[in-house]
Amino acid sequence: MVVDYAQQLERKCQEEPDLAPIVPAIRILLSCLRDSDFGSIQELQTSLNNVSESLMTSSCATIGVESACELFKRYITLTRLDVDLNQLKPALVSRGESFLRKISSDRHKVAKLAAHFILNGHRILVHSRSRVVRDALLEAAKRSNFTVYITESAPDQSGAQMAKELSTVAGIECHVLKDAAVGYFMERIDLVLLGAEGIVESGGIINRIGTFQIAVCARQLNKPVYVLAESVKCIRFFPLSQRDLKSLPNAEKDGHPCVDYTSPDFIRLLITDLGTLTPSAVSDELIKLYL
Amino acid sequence: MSKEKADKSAPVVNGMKPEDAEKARLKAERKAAFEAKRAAEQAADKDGAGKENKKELTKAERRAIQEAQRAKKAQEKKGPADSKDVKAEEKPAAKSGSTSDSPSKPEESPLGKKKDMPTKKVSFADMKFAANPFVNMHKRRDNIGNLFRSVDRRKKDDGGGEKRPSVHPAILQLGFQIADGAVSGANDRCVYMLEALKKLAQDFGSTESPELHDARELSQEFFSKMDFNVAFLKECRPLSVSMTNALRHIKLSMSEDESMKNASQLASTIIDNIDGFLQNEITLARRAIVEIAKSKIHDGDVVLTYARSSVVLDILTTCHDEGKRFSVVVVDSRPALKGRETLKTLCQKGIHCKYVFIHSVSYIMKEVTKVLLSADTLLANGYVASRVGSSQISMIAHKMNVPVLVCCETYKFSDKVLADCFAGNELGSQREFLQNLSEKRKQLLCTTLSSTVSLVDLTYDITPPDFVTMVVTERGTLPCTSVPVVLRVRQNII
Repeated sequence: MVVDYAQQLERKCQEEPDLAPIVPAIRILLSCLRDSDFGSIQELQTSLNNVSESLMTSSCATIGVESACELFKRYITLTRLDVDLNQLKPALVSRGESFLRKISSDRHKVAKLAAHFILNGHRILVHSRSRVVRDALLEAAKRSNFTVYITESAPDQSGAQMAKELSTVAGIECHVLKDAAVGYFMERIDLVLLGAEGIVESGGIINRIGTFQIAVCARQLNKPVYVLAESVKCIRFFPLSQRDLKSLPNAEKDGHPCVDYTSPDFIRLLITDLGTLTPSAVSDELIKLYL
Repeated sequence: MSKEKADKSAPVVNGMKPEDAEKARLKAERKAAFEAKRAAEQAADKDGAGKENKKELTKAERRAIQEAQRAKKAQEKKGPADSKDVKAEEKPAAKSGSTSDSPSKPEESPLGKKKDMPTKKVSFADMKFAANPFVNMHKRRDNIGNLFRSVDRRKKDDGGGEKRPSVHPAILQLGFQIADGAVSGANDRCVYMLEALKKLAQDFGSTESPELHDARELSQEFFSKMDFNVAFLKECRPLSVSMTNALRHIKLSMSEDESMKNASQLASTIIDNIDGFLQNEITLARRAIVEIAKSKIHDGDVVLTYARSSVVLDILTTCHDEGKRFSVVVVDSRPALKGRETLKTLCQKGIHCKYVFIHSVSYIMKEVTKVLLSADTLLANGYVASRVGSSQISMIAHKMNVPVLVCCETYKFSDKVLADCFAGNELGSQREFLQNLSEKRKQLLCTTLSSTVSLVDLTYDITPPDFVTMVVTERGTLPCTSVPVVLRVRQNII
């Protein structure tokens, strides 16, 4: 049972590499909702909790998957529940479907919003590979010419992949940097665009390892740091230090950390599908979502 | 000698009550004694003083003499019968100690005031309203005498035949406990106040006539009674935000419900409301905070805490009971030394503790991994109002990259905004300042205290949100800046 959902998620991620693991995870949850025969809401919630827990054991699960599952469970039950169970199930399923539609279109919304920040002649620093940052750059490339500096992002060299995607699709001028060369290039950068695996309650982000040092460097040289992320990645989690991340799924690999936490002090704006937010507004949105 | 002067210097004007006159006489007596002492001291010091000092000392001396002469003249002019009265201008100064919400006078910035100090050599007590931020502040314990008098006055007024509200015994008792400092802490004061109000409601239900009333009239009657009692509490010590929020909650929840027919029904509804508030907003909230905060403490942590806070104690003991291995640094400060109570409780539990005074915080902070504080209130601009000293601890922790966690129930959130710690603050009395000192040191301090020195013992300070990493509330963890959102959500729920 446990292996089942996790493997399913991994398979789906491989089939559609262009999708963030969030969307297939929600699809799996939704299909479980359709298939399950629950006698009470309580029962449904337990079964959905089990599914999301097993999804988290998958190797491609990120903190975003966890937050999306939480939000899915919350969103579908934010409806009138005092109808009888026969009518309830279709109501829940239709809410689930609308949630899926919403998160599938979120990335495009963010990309459109962020494209306005990119102007002609800009030199932009990007860390590793991020689907939403890539979409934003492709969107902006329709109107303006700019140069992108991409960190190589060891150990999996995903930065090189990002550069390939950008230059082949839209012919954007790309430079791949060694991770250690960020400080060297920072002085000539106009803005820093970052993706995020998760947005936490403080307004900070959890992202691929190396993000924190880029943000610190950018702050010191007064370069604006913009984070691009879908609101579904907001999670009720408040790390106090980097060590707190150990509890997250896939936070470590072979004894090396895979993600780090960037505190809100280093972030100028977060561009989300809810709009462009300051870091302090993130927790306001979270309170609205969960209280 | 001082006694003689005091009698002569009683200030005089017609048409005041004898109680006020008594107050004024006492005040004048104190002032005269003070002046005389100062003059004498300065005369004694004169020989040893330098050139510059000499000039100022003689100035002060001259002033004391002038003052005495003026008082003498006034005495002769008006005669002994009038001496029982009070100067109108003096009244606000005499009263300022006991009233909390008197409109705040324009204040000079503390910086400017400090600059003036060494050249003018006047004490805080001598300063005029405009220059002195401490004049309007509530002075703890100094007002107990006044309280007795005000209770007496109320009793006398009761004899007038017409029915007047009187302070309920439970409130009376609590008022003196609060004034004396036996009941302190934002949480405790609120809980005890609510318990006393329950008694008030109970008695209201049993004494009022059981006949049918208009529901609105009835609740109005009760609330006017409640307000009268709360006004007495306010006289004892300004109400904390927790108390005002609780009172507002009770009033709001009552105004919706208008189905009550008689007094006992009203009383039981009120008691139910209060019980609900105590249970949901205080007891359960506390439990939720402990539950959330304990997940933030891990094995090997060194937690720093300041003075005494019941919620922090709860968190630490719960963590210890669950087998987490951590140590605690208890920071304490004079004069209250509340940290000793914390230390006692933690040591009894067998938690490894270190005890330091606040001046060594920067030294100890190197080995601390988390700072755990509680708050009296959270302000709408994200500032944290807490026991004086919390601000500097947070600042040092921030500087050294130690996360600062502030525990606060959401019922203590305030929609007020403060920018400095003078507004709404309280002063400790000299007696309090000298407590916990050996007799020898006390005497030493008293004798060396010249009249130009006044003891300033502020009660609260405010911490800017930059220094606070996280606020732990029963609704989860938030950054300080989210206070307005929580307030908005709370209002929607109510």
